[in-house]
Amino acid sequence: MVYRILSTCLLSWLSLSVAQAQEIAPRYEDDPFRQLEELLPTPNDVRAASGAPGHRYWQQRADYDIKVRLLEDRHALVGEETITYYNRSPMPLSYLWVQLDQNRFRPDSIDRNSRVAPNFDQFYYKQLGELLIREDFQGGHQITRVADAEGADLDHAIIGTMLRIDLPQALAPGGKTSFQIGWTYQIVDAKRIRTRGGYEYFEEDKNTIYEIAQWFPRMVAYTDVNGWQNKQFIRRGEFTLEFGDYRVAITAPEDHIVASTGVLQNPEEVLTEEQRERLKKAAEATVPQFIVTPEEAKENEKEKATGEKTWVFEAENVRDFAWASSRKFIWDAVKHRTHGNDVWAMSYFPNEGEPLWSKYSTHAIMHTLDVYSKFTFPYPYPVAISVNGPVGGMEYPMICFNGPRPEKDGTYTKRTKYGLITVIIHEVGHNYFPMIVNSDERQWTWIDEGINSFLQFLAEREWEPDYPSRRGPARNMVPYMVSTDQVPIMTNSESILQFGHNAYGKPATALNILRETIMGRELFDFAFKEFSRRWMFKRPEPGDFFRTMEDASSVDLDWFWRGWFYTTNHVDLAIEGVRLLDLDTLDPDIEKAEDKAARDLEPEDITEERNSDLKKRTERFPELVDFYNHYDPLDVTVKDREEAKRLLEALNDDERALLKTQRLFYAIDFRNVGGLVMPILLKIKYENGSEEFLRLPAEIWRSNSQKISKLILAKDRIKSLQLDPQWETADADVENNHWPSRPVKSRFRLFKDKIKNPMREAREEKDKAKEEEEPEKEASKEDA
Amino acid sequence: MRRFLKLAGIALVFVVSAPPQAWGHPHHVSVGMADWIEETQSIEMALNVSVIDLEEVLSKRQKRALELDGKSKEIEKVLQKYFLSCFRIERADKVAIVPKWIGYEIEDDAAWIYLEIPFGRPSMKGCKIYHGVLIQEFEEQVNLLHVKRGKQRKTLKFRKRDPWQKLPAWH
Repeated sequence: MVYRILSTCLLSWLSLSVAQAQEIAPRYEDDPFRQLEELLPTPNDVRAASGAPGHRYWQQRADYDIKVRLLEDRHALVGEETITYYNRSPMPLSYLWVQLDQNRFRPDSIDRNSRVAPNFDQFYYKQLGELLIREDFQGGHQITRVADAEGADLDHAIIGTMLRIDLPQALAPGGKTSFQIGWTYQIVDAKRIRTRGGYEYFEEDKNTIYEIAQWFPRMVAYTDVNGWQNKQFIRRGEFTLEFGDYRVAITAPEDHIVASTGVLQNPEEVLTEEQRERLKKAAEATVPQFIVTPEEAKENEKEKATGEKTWVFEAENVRDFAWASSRKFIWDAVKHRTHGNDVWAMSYFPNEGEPLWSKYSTHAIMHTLDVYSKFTFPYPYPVAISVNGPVGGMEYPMICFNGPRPEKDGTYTKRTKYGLITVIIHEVGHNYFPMIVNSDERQWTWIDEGINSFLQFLAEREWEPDYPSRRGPARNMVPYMVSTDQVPIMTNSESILQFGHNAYGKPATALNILRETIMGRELFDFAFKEFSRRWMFKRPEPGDFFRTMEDASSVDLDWFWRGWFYTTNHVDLAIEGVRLLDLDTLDPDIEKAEDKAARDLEPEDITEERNSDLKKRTERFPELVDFYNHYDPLDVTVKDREEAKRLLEALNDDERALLKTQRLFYAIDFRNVGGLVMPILLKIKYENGSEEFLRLPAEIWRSNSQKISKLILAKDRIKSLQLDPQWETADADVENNHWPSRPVKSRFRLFKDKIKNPMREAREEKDKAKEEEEPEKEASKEDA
Repeated sequence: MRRFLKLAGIALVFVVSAPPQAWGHPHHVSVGMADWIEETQSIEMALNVSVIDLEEVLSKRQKRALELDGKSKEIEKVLQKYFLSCFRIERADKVAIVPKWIGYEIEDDAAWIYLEIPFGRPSMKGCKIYHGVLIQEFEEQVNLLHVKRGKQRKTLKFRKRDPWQKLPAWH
């Protein structure tokens, strides 16, 4: 009985501002907290429920022995390889698939034939040039031979970018087989056709830089989830491959410098004595040393040697192999000790890259290794290389290609400088994802690009304060998140809309929010490192990532993966209203007096007011007045007091003490406008000047994902509330984040204010004058 | 074929080598806020456009490397000319409205462009807007414009194949 009273009438409501919106009862399928198991594959002995490789985890292995010759006069490659393929799957294989990525450049490729018409209103020479070149260019792998280890021809068929080899006899589980492939292909002019590897010809000195990638017939991945990777190479979905050991002999013009995946096996045959001496010095140095100086490279450009040299490289446990070659290369190197391992950090670039490249490239490599190793595992390879050539940015094991260069006069913009550092961090970072944690980019771009963009952001922030990061800060993602032209992150690589935002920016932002706001750094970093280590040199699927992050943190993040990775909803939480609830004292002398006071505050009825001068009938005939003309239900009666006394006596001592609570009961109503459930980050300011910051977990939305109320027991009156005051959650509309509601000035108005603000202008002028002074000071310091 | 080439010939522009961006594809999305202001019967517009894309396009047009520094008056003129050429606004009575250039600023990798469109009518009813920022240059360019009047909101989407959109007929 008592409890009924407590719950029904002890609280009287004082509504401060309530915007009643239509209730939509959440349906089951809309529950953002339902478990992800219904979407993820069932765990098995290859992939465990914890997100770790299962106790019967397997993956294939392929070793390569390659001899290749670079023909500079024809821009062509001629190669011969022996592949040794190990079947570690439980299935017999009657045929093997090999990838021929250069076939993307054949005139009849899916890539070329599935392109839609360009826009003819404004049509650039470059576009026309690429079209015409693609029309005539006889690109693609020309396969000259497919034979078994003894040299007998093997039956085979070429289907688009894939080559099928029919084995005379199925390769049994646990077995291995060797076979040989011979090929040649025309190298792509990378300045005219967008590509991940190709050549750049310099008209002025008639020299060429070659960046050679996706160049040899490579084993298609055969996996427990897809069988043979059956997606043709179209353009965007890069690749996944098998790990193995490589021995590659590269024959190039005698005066070329070759940069490559792996460790050089014959320095005494290809390097001068002086270069070998400089390498010895660089092994002891802490900053990059020239192995080939800018002057030497310039000198080397002048003449072309007629002879050839063969550079032999070996690489262990890599999933691919790439290289670069030119007589234009300057080469700098330093042996960098990072997290217990010695790594050769090296850069190769032409004089056109100076002075930017010798200043930043190798430093950026070292920095990337330091930061990424901290968050994942120590870099396990002996080499990390950055090469400047025609490719804007592309990653391979131990080596990557990066495009930015200064202007011809050696000056460069701020954007070029940070563009270069950023792309080097990104591409060197790809060594970790997907070169070592071998996810399948032909299926899922985000898993390596998104994770890598996230780590890139962490590395940028450790490079210098206020580094101009593009991807990572939550609020930078808002415009994309509210756009309609998008697909979920969990979309196959070739079908993604708004590629950069979808596969790079949004997952990077999501992981950053997970780290800073939802899990906290300690918990996130532990779980993330666990994922990296579990899947080092193995092939994770998206589910393995989601599962490991939960397994290692003991936090159910299914709602987060579901919202951020499987939907296109955005974040927009709103404060909808605030209600102040008063505790009923049960004392009629207090309560009725309060009610009377409240009634006095009500406005006078308009008719009553206008009739005030009118002589009423009861005034003319006082005999019409009786008891009810004086009766006020808010007058305290004896009965009221007796009833109150009875109620009080029914309460026990504890309950009577509770009645005297000096707290204000605030019910704050929140609405989820954007659809994504997120923690509620609430800043409360009280009238006494104190402040409080509440972090309410996302689970607050589990009973109703659209509208909830939170009870705050306040000691003082609340003056104002603000949601997400530090812009942590990518909340799209900050106008509904305030109580009392506060119009947020539009960007337009802020800008207009700014340009009208003479004080700020004056201050900026002053700052500018100061800035101009300072470089001079710096310069004079250097002189001294 | 001949017609096509001739047509193309008019617009052929000199070649600038745009780096391929395998590592981080360009944005190709601009997002704008367009607020209807009752007192002035105009739209106040703030557009967020990728600086990298803008620099690439304007450098081609200017035939020199251009850097948006957010300060230089000369760059502002180039931007002003470009952006005013990207918009066409037509009122219900077929009168063309010319937007007013307010200014621009640079924030990280975004350029913010401020324009004002005076309608001289109490509503946008029957008005059409062409938003051609970067849509000639980038095949995938999408321009989003969040239009707002009081509590009413609507997002317009402009692409190469549908660059004209009707403004909402709100009151």
